Amino acid sequence: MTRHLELCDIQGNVVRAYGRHSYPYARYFLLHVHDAAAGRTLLQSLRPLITTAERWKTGDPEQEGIDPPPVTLNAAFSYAGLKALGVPTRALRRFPPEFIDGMRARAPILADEGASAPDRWAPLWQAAASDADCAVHIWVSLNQKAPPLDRGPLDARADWLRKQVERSGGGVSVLKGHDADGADHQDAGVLLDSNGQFFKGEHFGFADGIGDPVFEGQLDPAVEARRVIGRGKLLRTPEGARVWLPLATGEFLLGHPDESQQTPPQAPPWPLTHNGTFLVYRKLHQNVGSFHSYTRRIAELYMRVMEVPFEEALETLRAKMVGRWSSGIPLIKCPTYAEARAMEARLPTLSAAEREALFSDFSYASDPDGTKCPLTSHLRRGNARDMLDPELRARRGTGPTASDEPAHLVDSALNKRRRILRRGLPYGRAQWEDADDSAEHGIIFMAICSSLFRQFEFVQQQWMNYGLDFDAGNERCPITGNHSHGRFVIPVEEASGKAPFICDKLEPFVETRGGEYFFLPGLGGFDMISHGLVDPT
Amino acid sequence: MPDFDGGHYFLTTLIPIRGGAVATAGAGGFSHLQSLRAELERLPTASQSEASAASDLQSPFGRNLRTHFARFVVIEDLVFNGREGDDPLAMKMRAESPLVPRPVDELNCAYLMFTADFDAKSGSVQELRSYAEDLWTTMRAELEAVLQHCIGFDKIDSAEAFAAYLEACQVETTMPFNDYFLDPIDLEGLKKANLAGWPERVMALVAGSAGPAKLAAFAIGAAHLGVLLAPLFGWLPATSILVLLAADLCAVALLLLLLRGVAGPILRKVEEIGARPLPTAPGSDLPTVLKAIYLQQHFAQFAAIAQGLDEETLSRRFGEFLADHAPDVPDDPTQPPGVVHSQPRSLPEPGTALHGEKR
Repeated sequence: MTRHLELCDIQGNVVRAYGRHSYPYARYFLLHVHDAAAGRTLLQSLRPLITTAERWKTGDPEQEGIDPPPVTLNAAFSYAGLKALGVPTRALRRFPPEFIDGMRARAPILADEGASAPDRWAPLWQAAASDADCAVHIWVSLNQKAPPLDRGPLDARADWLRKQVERSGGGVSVLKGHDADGADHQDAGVLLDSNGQFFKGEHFGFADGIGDPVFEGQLDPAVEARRVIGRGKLLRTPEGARVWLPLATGEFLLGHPDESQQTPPQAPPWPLTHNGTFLVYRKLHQNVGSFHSYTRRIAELYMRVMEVPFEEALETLRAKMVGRWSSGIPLIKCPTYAEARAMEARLPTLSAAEREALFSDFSYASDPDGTKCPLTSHLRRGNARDMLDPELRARRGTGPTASDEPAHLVDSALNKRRRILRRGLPYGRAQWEDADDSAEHGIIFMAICSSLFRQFEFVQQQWMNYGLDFDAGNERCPITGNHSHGRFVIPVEEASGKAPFICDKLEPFVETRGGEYFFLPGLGGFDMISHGLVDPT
Repeated sequence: MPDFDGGHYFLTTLIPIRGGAVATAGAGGFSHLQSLRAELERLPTASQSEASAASDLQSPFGRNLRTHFARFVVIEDLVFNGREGDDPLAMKMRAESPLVPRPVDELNCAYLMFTADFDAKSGSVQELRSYAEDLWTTMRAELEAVLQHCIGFDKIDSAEAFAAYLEACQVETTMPFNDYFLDPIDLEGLKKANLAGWPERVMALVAGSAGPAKLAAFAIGAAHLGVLLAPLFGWLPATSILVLLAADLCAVALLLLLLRGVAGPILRKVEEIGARPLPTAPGSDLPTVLKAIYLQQHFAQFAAIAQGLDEETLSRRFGEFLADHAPDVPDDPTQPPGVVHSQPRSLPEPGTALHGEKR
C-alpha cells in the first residue's frame, strides 16, 4: 500500500532539484548561533517562507497546486547547530555517528586528502574548526526563479535574511569566508554556454543531474510513471519481466520504511525527525584547466592507438570517463562517436518522452564487459543500476549483447540502498576555452539521503574512490576520484583486435574546498526546534 | 578435516592467558592480560595501509615465506545473552520459578586466539610442527614477549617445545576460507572421483534386487487382500485383521532396523567424502602469489607505457620487460611478503632502468 506523503511537512528541496525547475540562481548562507533563544527566534521568522514539497501549479488546469515562490527558502542544521539551538542531549545522542562527527572528521572516509584535505579548505571552514564562535550551525539556501534574468529577487531575499540576523542583536551571525575573498554567502547557478544560453551541465562541459532517483510519494502519479523509468529500482516480476518502480520513501525520508522493508531507527522524539532527512553540502573545486590539458594529452595517444581523428578521440575519451557524451546521451544507448553525433543531430526532433527514454531508460545488462560504457566510468560508479547483479558479473568476458531484454533478467538489488538525491549547482563562471585551474569554479554538491553512512559515504568511499566492486583494484573514479597515480581502463571489444586503452597518471580533477553534514528536518521538526519544544522523554 | 584445505593449513589455537598480576619488584598493578595487550599493540602489522607503508616497521610474520594470514585475538570472555526464553506455561508445569537464577555461561579464563593460514603439503601434524618451528626461528623474541603471559609457556625454550605447545592449544578449524580459487572448482570432476564406483554399486544392488522385490511386494499385497476379504465370506474371524496389523508393525520395525544398519555406513561415507580437503588451487603458495602480485603491477605499468609503440619497439621493450622481471622465476625479482606495493610511485619509462626489486 502506498501511503500518501504529507507534502507540506517536507522541505521542498527533498522532492525538487530547483535548478531543473526554472530556478537557475542559488545562494547559500551558513549561520552561527551564539545564543539559543536568539537562534530559535530567527528560525521562527524564517518559518513562513520555507518552501515545502507541496505540488506546484503546472499550467495544467486539471492539476491542483500552489504558486511556485519567486525565491525558495530551505534550512538545515549541523549537529553543533542542533546543540546550539538547545536540542536536548537525549535526542542528540541518538543521531547517527557520522552526522555527529561532521564532514571534517570523516575526511579519511571521504578521501578528503592531499589537495582536498580539510586544512586546505576555504577560510570559513578553517575558522569553523579552530574557533568555537565560528562553527557552522545553520544552512540556509535560497533559489530564485527566472525570469527575471537578473538576481534582483535573490538579492532582496538575501538582504532580508541578513536583516533578520541583525535583529538577533549578535545572537546569530552570518559566517564569512566561503571563498578566499571572504564572501558571506556562496553563489551558485546554472552555467551559461558560449552563446549566453543556459547550459544544464558542469564546468567540464557535460550535461549533469540527469539520473536522479525517484521515490514513492515524491511525484504526482502521472509524472512518476514517466520519470521512474531508469530512475527508480529495477525489479524482476514473477512473470519474467523487468519493471522500474520508485524507491522506498525511507531511503530519503526518516520515519518511513526503506528498501530493507523496515523503518530505520531515528532520533527521538518521532516528530523531531519524522519527514526529516540528511543533507550533504560540499564545495567541490574543479581543475578545469588540468582536465582539458590531461584529456587533450591522452587523446593524442588515443588518436594514434585507435586510429581515429583527434576530435573524435577527445570526445570519445571524455565520454568514456563520464559514461555519457557531453550532450548527456548515455554511451549505453550510443556507444560510438558516429552514433552519438547522429543522435545529437536528431535531438531537436525528439518528443519529450523520447528524450526521457534516451537519457534515462537503460540498464547495463547488455554490456557485461563495459565495452560500450566502461565499468569504472563516473556514471556506472555513481549509480550501478543492475551491473552488480551476480548473474551479470558472471557473464564477464562474454561480450556485449544487442538487447538487454528479456534474456538477462538482472536487477538493481545491490544498488537500491546506495542512492542519493543530488541537489547541487555549479558555481563560478564557465571557461569553455583557455580554462585554468585557479579560477573560482566548481560545483556546490548537495546530496540528500536518510543515511549518510550507508548512502553518501558508501558511494564516495567504495565507488568513487575504490574499485573493488568493479573488479578494478584501487582505481578511483576518473572524474571525481582523489588520484595520486590513478589509472582508468577503457575496455574494447575483442573483435576489434585492439588492446584495452589505459589512461595513466590521472590527476585529481575535483578537489574539496569545504563542507558539512546537515539535518534537514520536516516542518513539524523545524517547529519543535524553533519553539524549543523538543522533549524526547 | 577442515584444518587443511586447498593446499593451505588453517590453524586455530586457543591459548589460555594467565590470571593475576605480573610479578614485578615490589610494584604491582599490571595484569598479564593488560601486559599481553600491550605487547600486541607493540607488534607491527604488515604494511597494508598508507600509514603503515610509510613507516619502517614490518610484521614479524613477514620474515617467513609461508604465512598468508596471521591474527592474534584476545577473547576475554563470552557474552552472556541472559536466560533462555521459556514458555511460562511449560515452566509452571515443571514447577520452575523464574526467580531462581540459572547457571551463567562463562570462560574459565581469558584466551589468546592465534590463527594462521599457511602453505602446507598436508594436514599432518608434521606440517604444523614445521610451521611452528619456522616461526620460532624467525620471530622467537616477539613470540616470547606475547606468550610469556600465557599459561604453561614458561617451560617453552625450544622450537620443538613451542610446536608441542601450539599443538596442545589447537582447536579444529570448522570453516576455513581459502581466497585463492580464481577459477571455479571442478565440482563434477571431484564428485566423480569421490564417488568412484559408488553409484554403480548402488544401481547394481537396485537392479539385482528388482525381481525378488517385485515378487515380495506381490505376495504381501495378495496376503493383505486375502486377510481383508476372507472375513466377508466367513473364512476367517474378523480379529485376524488385527493380527495382520500387528504383523505389519513388526515388519516395519524390522525394516527400520535394517535401514539403520544400511544408512549408518552411507552417512559415514558421505561425511568422510565431505571432509576430504579440496585440491590445491593452482599457484596458491605464497611465493607464487607474491610473484603474481609483483608481475601484475609491473605488467600493468608496462602496458600503459607501451601503448602506441611500433611493433619493433614494442617487441624490444617487451624483451627487456621479460629479462627484467623473469616471469618464470618465482623468487627473483619478486615482492617481499607483508607489503602492498612493490614499485615506486613513479616509474621511469621502460628501456631506461626498469629493474625489479631484488630481495
